[in-house]
Amino acid sequence: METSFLPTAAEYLRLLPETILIVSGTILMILEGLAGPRNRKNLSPLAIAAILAAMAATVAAAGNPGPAFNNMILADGFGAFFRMVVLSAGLLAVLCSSSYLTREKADSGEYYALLLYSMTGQCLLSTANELIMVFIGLEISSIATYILAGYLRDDARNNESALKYFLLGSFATAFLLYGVAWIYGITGSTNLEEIRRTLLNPESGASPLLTGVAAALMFIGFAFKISAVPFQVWAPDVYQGAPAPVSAFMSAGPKAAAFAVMLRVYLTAFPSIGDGWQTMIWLTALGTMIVGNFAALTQSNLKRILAYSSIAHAGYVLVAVTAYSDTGTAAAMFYLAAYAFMNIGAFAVVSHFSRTGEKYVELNDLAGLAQKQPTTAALFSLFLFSLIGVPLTGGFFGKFYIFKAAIDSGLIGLTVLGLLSSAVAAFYYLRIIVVMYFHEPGDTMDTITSPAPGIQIALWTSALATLLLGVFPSFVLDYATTSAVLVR
Amino acid sequence: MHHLWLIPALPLAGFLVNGLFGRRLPKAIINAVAVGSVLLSFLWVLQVLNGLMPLETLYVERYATWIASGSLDIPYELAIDRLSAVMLLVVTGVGLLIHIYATGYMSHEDGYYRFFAYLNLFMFFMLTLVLANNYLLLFVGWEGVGLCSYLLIGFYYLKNSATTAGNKAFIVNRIGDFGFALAIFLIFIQFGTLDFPAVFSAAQPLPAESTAGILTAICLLLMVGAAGKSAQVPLYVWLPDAMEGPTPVSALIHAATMVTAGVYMVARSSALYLKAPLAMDVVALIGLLTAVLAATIGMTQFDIKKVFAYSTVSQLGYMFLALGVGAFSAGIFHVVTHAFFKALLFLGAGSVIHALEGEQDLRHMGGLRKKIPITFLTLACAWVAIAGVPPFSGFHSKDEILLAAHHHAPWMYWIGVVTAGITAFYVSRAMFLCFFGKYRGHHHPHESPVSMWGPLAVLALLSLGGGYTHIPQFLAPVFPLAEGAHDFTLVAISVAAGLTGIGLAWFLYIAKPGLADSIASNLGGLYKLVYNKYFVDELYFATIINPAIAGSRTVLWKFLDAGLIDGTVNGAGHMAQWVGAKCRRLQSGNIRTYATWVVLGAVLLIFTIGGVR
Amino acid sequence: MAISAGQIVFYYLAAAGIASAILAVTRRNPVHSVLWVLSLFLHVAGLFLLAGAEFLAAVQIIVYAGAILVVYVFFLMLVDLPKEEAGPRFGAHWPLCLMVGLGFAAIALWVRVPGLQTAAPAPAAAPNTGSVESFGSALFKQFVLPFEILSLVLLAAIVGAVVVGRRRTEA
Repeated sequence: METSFLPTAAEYLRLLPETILIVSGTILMILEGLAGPRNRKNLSPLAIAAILAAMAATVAAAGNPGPAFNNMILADGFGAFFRMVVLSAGLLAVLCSSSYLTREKADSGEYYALLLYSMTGQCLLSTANELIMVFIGLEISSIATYILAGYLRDDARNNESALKYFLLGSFATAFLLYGVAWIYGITGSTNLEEIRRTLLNPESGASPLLTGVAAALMFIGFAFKISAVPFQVWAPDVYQGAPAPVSAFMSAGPKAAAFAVMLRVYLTAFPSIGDGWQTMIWLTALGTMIVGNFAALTQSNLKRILAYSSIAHAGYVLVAVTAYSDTGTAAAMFYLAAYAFMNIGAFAVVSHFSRTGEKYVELNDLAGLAQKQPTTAALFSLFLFSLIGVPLTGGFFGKFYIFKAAIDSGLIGLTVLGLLSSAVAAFYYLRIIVVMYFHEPGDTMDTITSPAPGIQIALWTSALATLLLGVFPSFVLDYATTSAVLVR
Repeated sequence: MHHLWLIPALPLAGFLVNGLFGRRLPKAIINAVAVGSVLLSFLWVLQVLNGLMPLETLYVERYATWIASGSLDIPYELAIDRLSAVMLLVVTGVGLLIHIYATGYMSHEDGYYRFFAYLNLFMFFMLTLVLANNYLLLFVGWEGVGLCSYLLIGFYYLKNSATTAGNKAFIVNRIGDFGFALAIFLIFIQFGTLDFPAVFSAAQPLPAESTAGILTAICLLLMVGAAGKSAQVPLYVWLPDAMEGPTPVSALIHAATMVTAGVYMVARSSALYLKAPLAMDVVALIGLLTAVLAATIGMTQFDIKKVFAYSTVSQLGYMFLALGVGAFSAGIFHVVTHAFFKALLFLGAGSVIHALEGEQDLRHMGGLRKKIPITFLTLACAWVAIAGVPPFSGFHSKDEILLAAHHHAPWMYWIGVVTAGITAFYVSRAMFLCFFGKYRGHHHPHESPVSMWGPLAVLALLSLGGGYTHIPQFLAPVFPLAEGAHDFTLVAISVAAGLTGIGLAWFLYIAKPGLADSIASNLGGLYKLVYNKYFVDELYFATIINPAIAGSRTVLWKFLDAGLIDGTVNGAGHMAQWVGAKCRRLQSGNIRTYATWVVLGAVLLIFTIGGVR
Repeated sequence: MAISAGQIVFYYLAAAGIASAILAVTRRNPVHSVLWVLSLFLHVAGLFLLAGAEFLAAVQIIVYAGAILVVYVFFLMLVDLPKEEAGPRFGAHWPLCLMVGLGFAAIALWVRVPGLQTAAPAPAAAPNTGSVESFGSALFKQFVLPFEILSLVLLAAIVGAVVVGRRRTEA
């Protein structure tokens, strides 16, 4: 290792998606200055092109898996899977954003640049093989997202949302960093594989208690990002306050990346603390499902409902993490992919429906949508059905695999409680459908226009993906199953 | 590869085109898409069969893995054998005729495109059901046809009774589906697979269960599912109400195809049933009971569609009788002939209703023979077919069933014969009231367009000649031929019963009109009991529905009132709301409080992870 | 029992640190609180020095006392100081906060017992962390990717500052 620190071409290829995102983000900002106010609207195609290029690079990198830059990142199938999830989430968010920004008179290149940076951070998280990279990836992702949450500077809700997210987020990251420091103190390394070796070596003298506490400290940082109980308190306020496309992205991209890094860190580095870890996640998973689903029942604001629902869904994924098995990991991966599409789809509808200044975000505003815009209502219903977990949608197989993995790992109690809480969830999703289909349209329908092309593409893409995952789940699941083994 | 997937995919494509763009398309294109997709599907069935004949073993096409998780491995597989070939021909063939008919019948309705989109979607699910090679895919089709059925029953959604009927069908079928789902679980537990060939070959070496065992449980639960879908006692109550839907729907879904899905499913599972004689007996008894019960109710109804609806229930009972006594091929044979003549009866009834601008009451008809002659002639073909007059189609299939019943237990044969007589009676009664005597209504009847009577004519030919299709012989590779030679005496008795029924109807409604009413009034209580359908609906209300309402008024009242969800959240969800409110209180919006929660969570987590080791 | 000079210094630093922390949370004037936090940081740096971690001590002073505290002070400029001083120092949930704090203290004590007695191994891969040369070498060889990618953190933060600070020109 000491001989050459010069990276090979393969190593650059393994970092290519991130490189593309960074370079294009920066170019976008430069172009914005050159383009002048009138052409700012035309920047979103560039962002889309950049994301598509990054996707292609991900596929190329996955063809030649391996570590890069002195084991800082590990571009394996697991990482590629999550890179694709993050990039898809980003792509859909960009598609929703362009009409949104035009509507709010906030077109600018920085928005897309920040989105691309945020995705860079998440891609790094998906592949990070080193706690320092984990921290840096998390910071890049978070800082960009903090700003995006408060992007509409003149909007008080945006500002409050961004400030809360920032303060609490930094607070939680501090725990993570503290945990990393402890691990370094215990094992003398920040590389995940070395940590694993040290911890499994009985002669290293590493105290299991100290390791456990360090792992718990790090978990707090991740749990905050995935909005797991009791670190979920920020999510409803932030999702409600942030611009709808940003909320859509936040609920899918950063969450998937945080799960990716959590799975990799705990499965790769901490096999020695299995039991304590499992109990901790068990409790967290249960609490997250219950709080998310029950709190959503009493909400009337669509964005808040979706925020709580996104908490609840994090709980389901945590059930898969609790299973602590290869099938559990694969189930979590599948679920996060399915969730990204159905949830962004739902947020895209809200983003379209809310209109300028996000005036219409109350549940009752949706009354009679089915009569005015049957297609939008039908697609929204599809996403909601998928979120419920109705068969032939991606959500169904996501839940199916998760609870199957949980049963295989003997987590009968958690499975039963999880299924009960997801039955509760059906109520608040169905309530939205009932309002759309069975209530008479009110005056909120007077100013409704047909969805902008970008939103339409996002809606149809998400719908198609949701259905494909529900009808042909094995294509994605097979890939997840083969790559889940890699992080063990 | 014979591309079996094209068979269901074509109607699905039709559904997508009409469902997505139908609102903006002219009617001619909607027709072309809807009818064309089914026609192509029918032709493709012929093409596939042409390539696969003689098809003596199961032909399977595997497309992809559907669910693979641990020990559970379910592929996307479609399969075809002679049993599914028969069903495919019936579904696509009769379905095609009904689609053509519907283009005429529905031409003045709103939501034209919606109707055909649903109809095509129904075809997709029905064909999936028939082609499925495992229980799970069959269940998908099963649920899908149910969904389309509810949608189409409630098609006139502005009519209150239509939505109520849709809900009734939905709720009753949930009971059946619950049984079916449990059966599927049990099958998976017992055999570790859901594939038809694997399950059946695993069941092959098992001994027949003399007492109730796991196979009996599976078969009984399957029968619960079949009873829901195929309207058997005690779950038949939804089918008569389902006549609220448009008449082509009644013909296609609630007479010819969907309701026979239960028969198909039981026949498909014959390998399991043969190992559970106890369950077979239950199937036979339920079939017999349904046949008698529904036939007697049919005698007293005045709504022409209700008469035929009870007739359907009764005929389905016959089919289950056949299955229960082990004459699976006879049951399927009856499915086929019944599809012909019952579709014809419904479409003919639709033609009458169309001619009378919506009149359905037999008391306001009469003498239509001369006014709508084509409809009359075609309906007459269905009449002789269902009455069991030789040599028409109903005679052949009914005969097979009755002979098998006699072989199994003679008393079943005798009840079957009496029911055959009643069947002939009520159909004749409807025909006499409708077409003979003096016209008692005040509309001006007009003959239907060719798009409507064309399919009627084709179905009429099938009803007359359908008995010579030799279905039982064709199905011999799937089901062993029923034992017992044709006994001429038994055949003569059942034919005589049919003719007696016709004669009695002629006597009561043509020769001595008015006699029927006086008999009805003399019978008093008994007549009332039958006329009111044995008060089964009322019984269900008194024993199940009302107690349920009383017991959980908040839940159910709101359930129906505020549309399922609002109510449930308010009622049973009181506690949920309370919990939700507590959760929400955590959400004060105060960032300091939030930070405190974060630290509190940290403390708890660290204690957990440390405390467990 | 003899008490070495090192121990005396340790107990002084520890006690003064705790006292600073308590003062920091109890002062009405936020500026005073911040100053007490500074005192806390300095004492903790002293503890690092005592443990022989000169580099950490320097980082503690440069990063925490230097950078982070400055951010706090900036933040205070946005606060209405007189109003803040007039209000009660503890919100309604201070018992909860106290419990949480005690919980953390309990964890520290509880972890300390086995932790210190099993003498955690000296970090193996810490070759003279104090040396600037080895530090720089590690930064530009092994840790070159994190080092480079850190610039993106700064870039994102700068863009953010611009976005947040800019007035909307349209509208």
